[in-house]
Amino acid sequence: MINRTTARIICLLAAAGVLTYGMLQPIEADVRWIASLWLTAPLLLIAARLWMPPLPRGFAHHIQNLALVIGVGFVLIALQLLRQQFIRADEIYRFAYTDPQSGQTTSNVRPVIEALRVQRGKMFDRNANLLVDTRIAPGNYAVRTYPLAQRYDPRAFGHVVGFFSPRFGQSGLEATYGPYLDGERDRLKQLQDALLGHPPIGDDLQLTIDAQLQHAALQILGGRSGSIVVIEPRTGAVLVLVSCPGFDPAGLAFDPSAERSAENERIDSYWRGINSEGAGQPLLNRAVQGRYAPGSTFKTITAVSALEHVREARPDEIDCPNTRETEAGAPPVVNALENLANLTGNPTDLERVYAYSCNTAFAEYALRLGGDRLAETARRFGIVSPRDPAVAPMADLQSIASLLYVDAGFLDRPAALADTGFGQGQLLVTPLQMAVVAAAIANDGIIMQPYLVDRVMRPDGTVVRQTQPRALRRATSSAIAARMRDLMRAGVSYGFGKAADAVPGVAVGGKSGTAEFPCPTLEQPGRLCAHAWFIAIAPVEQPRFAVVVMIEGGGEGSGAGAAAAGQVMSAAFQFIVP
Amino acid sequence: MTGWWQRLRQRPFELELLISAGLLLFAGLGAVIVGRGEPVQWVDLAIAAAFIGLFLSMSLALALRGWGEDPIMLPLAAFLASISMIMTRRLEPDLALRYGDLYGSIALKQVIWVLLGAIVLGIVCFVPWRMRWLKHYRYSWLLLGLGLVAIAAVFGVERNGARLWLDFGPFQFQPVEMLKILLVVYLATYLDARRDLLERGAFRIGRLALPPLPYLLPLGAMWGLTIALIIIQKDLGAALLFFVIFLAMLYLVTRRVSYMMAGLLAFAVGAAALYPIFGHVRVRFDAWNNPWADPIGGGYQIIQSLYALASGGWAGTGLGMGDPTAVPESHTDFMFTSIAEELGFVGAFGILICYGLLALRGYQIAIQARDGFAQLLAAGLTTAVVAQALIITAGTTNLIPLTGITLPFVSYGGSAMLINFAMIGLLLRISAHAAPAQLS
Repeated sequence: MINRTTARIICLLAAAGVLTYGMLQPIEADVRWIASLWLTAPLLLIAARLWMPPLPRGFAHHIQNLALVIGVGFVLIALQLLRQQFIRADEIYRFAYTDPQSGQTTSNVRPVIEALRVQRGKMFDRNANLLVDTRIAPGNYAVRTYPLAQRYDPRAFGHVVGFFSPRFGQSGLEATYGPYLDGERDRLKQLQDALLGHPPIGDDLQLTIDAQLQHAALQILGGRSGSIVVIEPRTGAVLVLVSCPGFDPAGLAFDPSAERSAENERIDSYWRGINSEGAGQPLLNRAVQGRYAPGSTFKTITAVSALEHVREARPDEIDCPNTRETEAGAPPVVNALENLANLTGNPTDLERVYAYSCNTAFAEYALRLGGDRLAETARRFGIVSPRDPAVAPMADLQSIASLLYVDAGFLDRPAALADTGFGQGQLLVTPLQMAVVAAAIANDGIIMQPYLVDRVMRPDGTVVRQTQPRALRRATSSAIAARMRDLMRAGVSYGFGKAADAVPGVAVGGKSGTAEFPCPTLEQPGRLCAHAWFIAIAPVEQPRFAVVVMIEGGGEGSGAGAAAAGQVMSAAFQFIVP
Repeated sequence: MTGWWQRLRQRPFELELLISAGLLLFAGLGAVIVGRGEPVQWVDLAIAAAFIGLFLSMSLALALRGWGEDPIMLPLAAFLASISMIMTRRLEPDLALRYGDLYGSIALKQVIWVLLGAIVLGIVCFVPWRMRWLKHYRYSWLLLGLGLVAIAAVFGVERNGARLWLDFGPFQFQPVEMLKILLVVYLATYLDARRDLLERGAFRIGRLALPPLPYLLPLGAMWGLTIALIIIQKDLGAALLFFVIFLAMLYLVTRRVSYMMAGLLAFAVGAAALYPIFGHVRVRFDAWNNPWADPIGGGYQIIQSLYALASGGWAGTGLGMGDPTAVPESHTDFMFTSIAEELGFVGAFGILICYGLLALRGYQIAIQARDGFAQLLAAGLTTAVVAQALIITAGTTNLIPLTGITLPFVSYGGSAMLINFAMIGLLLRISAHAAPAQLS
């Protein structure tokens, strides 16, 4: 016969054990917790019964039992509250459930409302023009406003600043700089705000973007799908980053003070509109997330590689035939123009085949170099092979890496290597990456980390974070970079990039690119279209700007591409004071 | 001359506790009003003053009469009612903002209900009526209650899928609340009268031992009544509560755990049989079993409640700082969740302790009552209040399937408030051990 005390302790220990097991269960397995809670009920009841002084059988005795049952009931509720409100509270608070069938998400509304109350930080352009602001609406709700729209086309800025929506999430800098815009503060300040009921105020961002130039770039694209990026080569500061079609972030900014259903309807219809077929994917930031064949702009990298391996590539012992056979069974490499040798001369040199963009010559360079040497040069310029670690070219926006080829062993085939040498093959390059290539050549061969946010400031003006221009790596030697600037100047002064020579008194250098891609129609199943590319630097002696223009289906790079690049250059020299 | 002074000095505890409840009311209302940045209006002061004045004068009157009523019951009810008034005042603007102006005046209405409830309590305590009447007219009480519920079932207005309300223009009356008190009275008389029969034990058919017929018959009737409530009125909460009250009182008379178990089993079987047939039973059970199976439908309310509890934390967000109205019915069925969100685990635990104390005192009154009828009546009334609190708090914290009943004294609602105060009044009457013999 176990005595009462021992039995009581055994019961309590068993109850504690079951409860601990239950408390440790993840919140998804709530059923197990509830079951263990119910299992403790009889144990607690027995323990309590043993603890109470035994009464003679009678009314009082039974009342006591009844009271014990009721008491254990309250203990169970208290234990349930302990778990839900204290031990697992944080997890439950943040728990979001996504229905596996419908994909619909259920989550706590409170963090969303909390986020709506945060007075998110402002964004300024490089000249301290206010781009994005926050208005406090009735009910202490914060609403994102876009003062930039008063002077500029807001669609030019959508991708950079991003949208901020409690329903659709965030994009652009709103997403990547969310923690700063929400207001990073020390714990003391947080506690103070919480106690005094102050809405938290976020930090402001000073961008490297020039709003006027950004606006101008979108005008230059003139509604054609594509991107324009302008980088300051010496620092890596991004002056322009435009992707077209764009979107107006105000279209998705929820105003909690407005009539709810009308506001939701407005945002819904805008969202449906920009996601509809035929809208051209305005939410895609083509400049950092669009990957295309670079066309002849890639000859810049083949040329660098040839200059680095003079013995193997013999850059100045070259010709420019109309066709060049690469391997048996593969179609020969052809030039875009018949009898290009009339322009380059025969034999000729690197400068002339670069300026006149001779495919057969660059196919030959690639074959002479071999896949490994070409891939090694490309990797230094940030165009990586599938087996290399893919590093995003920019941290400030969600950007993707550029690829030299896709299938393993692709460059082992001479025909593929030759195609890659003049910018076709399986190359997939983002406009930002081509801008980085141009900027590296402009900056004596050193790649600077591209960045969009110059400074993060607290509302009181103290600087939280100042971006220091950072050299990522040397892409090529200073001498070769200088030689490449001469080649690019040749491309604009007498080659196919003449249309880019649009800035009086400034020597612009550049390289066009015409990237072919199949665009079959019913009548012409084999039809080919072309993306127009142009990379440009100016002034070539000491470049201040590196520009990339990429127009989807824009045709000849030497036509639409070069013209747009020239316009961007002249706008840059007009708006940006040294 | 010294008599009244002596009597006053015998009851200081109740007065002190009531003053504490009054201070809580002042502090809570103050926090709500200042937190919203509103000016203090004379209405608010008048409300608090009326509340305190009414309860204090009642306490003084009880002391002066010197019948020796329990000194804790009244302050407990006052305390819970204060919480109720604070919370309705706090929820009113949010509810109006979220769900429309229908909720624009719930705070004032609730104050009126609390004051009316206190007056009902006063009537029960001070009007000289004989306890015997309860016994003599037991069938009238029962028929009155059932009749009201039947009228509601036929002519009532439907709300949230349950037809529970009789519409009287600005006010709605919930007869099932009335039935609760009448049923306890009826059961106490019935069971007390058949105490000997019930105690004698089982009668046998061959080897099968059956409970005595006086047990079987009311058990069957009760079971039928609750199932009818579920089917006709879709009122799961009241059905469960009635059955729990009945089982508790039956246990006190028969002193057999096995009958209680059998009764619970019968209820479970009944509910299980209804599960596949009736949507509202199924929805409640499924939402309890796994709220995430239908997070925007059946599980919505309980999921919102779990989020509200979690955002409360141990100390709560503070009055007016949370978002309790994100949970539907935050002022009625889910009042406990609202308190748990804004006052935290500490506040919710405090509420639970209040009900625990109420149970403790109520059962003590039952033990000390002078006759079997009073004992059963006191135990039944106590169980009615406390079990209701248990069922709804367990439901809103997802410990058991949610059934829509009010949290006694705290949830917004008029009929419940009046009936709860009447029940406390009855308990006070039973505890009046020094009352003149002809009145008890």
